[in-house]
Amino acid sequence: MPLISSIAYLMLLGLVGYAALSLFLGCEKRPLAEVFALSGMLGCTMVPLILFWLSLAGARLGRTVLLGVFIASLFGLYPIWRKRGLVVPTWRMPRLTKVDWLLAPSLVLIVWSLITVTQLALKYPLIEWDGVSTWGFKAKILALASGPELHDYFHDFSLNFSHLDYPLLTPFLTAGLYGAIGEVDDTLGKAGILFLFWCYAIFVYVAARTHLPRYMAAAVTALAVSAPLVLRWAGQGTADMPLAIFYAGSIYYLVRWILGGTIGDAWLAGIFSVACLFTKNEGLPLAVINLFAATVFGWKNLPRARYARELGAVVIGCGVCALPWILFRHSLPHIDENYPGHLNLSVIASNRDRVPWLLNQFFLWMFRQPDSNFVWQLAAGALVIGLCTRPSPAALIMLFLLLAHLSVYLLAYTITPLPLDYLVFVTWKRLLLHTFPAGVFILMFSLSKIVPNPASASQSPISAE
Amino acid sequence: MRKFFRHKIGMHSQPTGMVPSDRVVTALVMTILLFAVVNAYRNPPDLVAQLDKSTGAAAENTASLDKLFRKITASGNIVLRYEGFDYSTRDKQEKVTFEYIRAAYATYPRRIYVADATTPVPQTETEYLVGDPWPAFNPSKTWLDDHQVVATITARRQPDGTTRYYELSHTQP
Repeated sequence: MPLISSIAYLMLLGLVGYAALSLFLGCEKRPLAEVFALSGMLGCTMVPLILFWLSLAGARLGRTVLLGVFIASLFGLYPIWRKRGLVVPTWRMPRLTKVDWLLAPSLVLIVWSLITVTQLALKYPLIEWDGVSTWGFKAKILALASGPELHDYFHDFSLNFSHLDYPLLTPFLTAGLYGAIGEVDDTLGKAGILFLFWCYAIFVYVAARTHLPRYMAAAVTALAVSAPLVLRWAGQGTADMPLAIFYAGSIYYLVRWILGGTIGDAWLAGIFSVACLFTKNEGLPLAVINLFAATVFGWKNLPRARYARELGAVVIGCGVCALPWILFRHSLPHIDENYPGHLNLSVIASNRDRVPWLLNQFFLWMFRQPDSNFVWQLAAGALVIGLCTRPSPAALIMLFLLLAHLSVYLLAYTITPLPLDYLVFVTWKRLLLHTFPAGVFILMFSLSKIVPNPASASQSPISAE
Repeated sequence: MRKFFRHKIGMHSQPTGMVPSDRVVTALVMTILLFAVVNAYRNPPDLVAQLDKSTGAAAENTASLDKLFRKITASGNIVLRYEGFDYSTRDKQEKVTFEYIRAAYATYPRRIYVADATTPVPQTETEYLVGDPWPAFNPSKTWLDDHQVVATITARRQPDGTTRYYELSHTQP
């Protein structure tokens, strides 16, 4: 019974995600794999957001609430269909050529990675420190408490080890599953995050396939999902992999929009940026960086009227989605970490000697094997070759986003009041995981200029640039 | 220019639309990517085996810990005290604290109090390096009654520094 309820919950995520996708894209035709991946990723964004809004209104998480969300999204599809039409998944039988045998090792690696992560996640309860203390603890509380009881939790300092002011997307995603199965099961509870990871694997392939030949897209996907960094964290029940996944979605569609994509791309970039800030505190600066990039690069690249109309609509729409969490978080006590509280010039100046050491560490982390499957080295090589021959604007925007992302972490490490070397030791792999999708996309976009995929040039605004 | 070149050498009928130089570049890039993919087969199995082993061992400890604390908290909340642990070592930070957090997680909505609601209890290992995270907690009888505390547990460090035991002392009949 818990297994059936879990599957029903994952289908609910897919349904809500599909409704949101149709709302953003209208009646666009997209490949079936992309519709599946985006529905899953959007479902894992929208359902926790909806559950959060409902919990603010005092609702107790359970099957009744989930049934209400299911019925509402089902009825929500009707007006979307009438006004904008639903996204049409397209399917075309792949015509394999002789070189496509090169797919084999990549496919084996992708499947092996997905099975391994699934097996590790569903074999054990929550063991990872953060998985238990922050994300798992919050999920259990959100599943069991509501109203004043929930309010008390967020103001009980003795439970501060669970980081009272940390974002709630992952806990609500897990708590939703607990609500569906009617009990707290921290082994099965990781199914929501796993579902998100499977969708991510498909998303990376679809994104890569848009710009690269099939066998090359599969190779890039294999490198992205089988990296030890990813395997280490994807099934642990922490929020690091979800943040990396939402960040991947946000920057990919942001670049597509900047380089002439549709308003649907802007909506996807916006809503995944909201997901970032609702997943981890690190997501807030990432959302701000995305907004900055959209404002600056969009201004330079898009027709002014369209730019203003689309950016304005997306910022307002996504701002409305994010505002309840921002206000709620603002009302919570900020006891530990509190990086914004340390962000002042005197702290930065007094800790400036950390910067060279940290830069050196960043370089070592990125290019150290075997954490990232050579992705950083390949991305750097492809970027340099691209710069010398056919520079890819998409790769350059990605590089900007990556450098801005790393700058945020550099600043956080510079101002942290905690012992730096130990903090770095326990956190750097996860921070590198957050930046990993940017490395994958730099590789992908740079390769698309070196080895273009003529078959899809007409479909993609980035390939056609 | 590329179109002109393709037309001149009659490559326009190619299904992929590639010129010969493209083929060389493609082959080169694919070789590098395949090398990276094949290389990716090397490390993950070791990592996964290691992760499987360490997680399995931790899961066994966790199961017995969950069972112990669920039994202890079956009839109400408890107060937990730590004695004899050295804050300057990772003993407290990594093992005891994790045990506390896991127990607090497993027994919720029962509560395991190590401090009152106004004393922040930090989580991250690094925060423990800043100072003693948990000041002495000696709640009054009224506080214990108000919070439905049925027992006080003391976690003590053994003289050899390797093992601990939990001592149960009932605060209420």
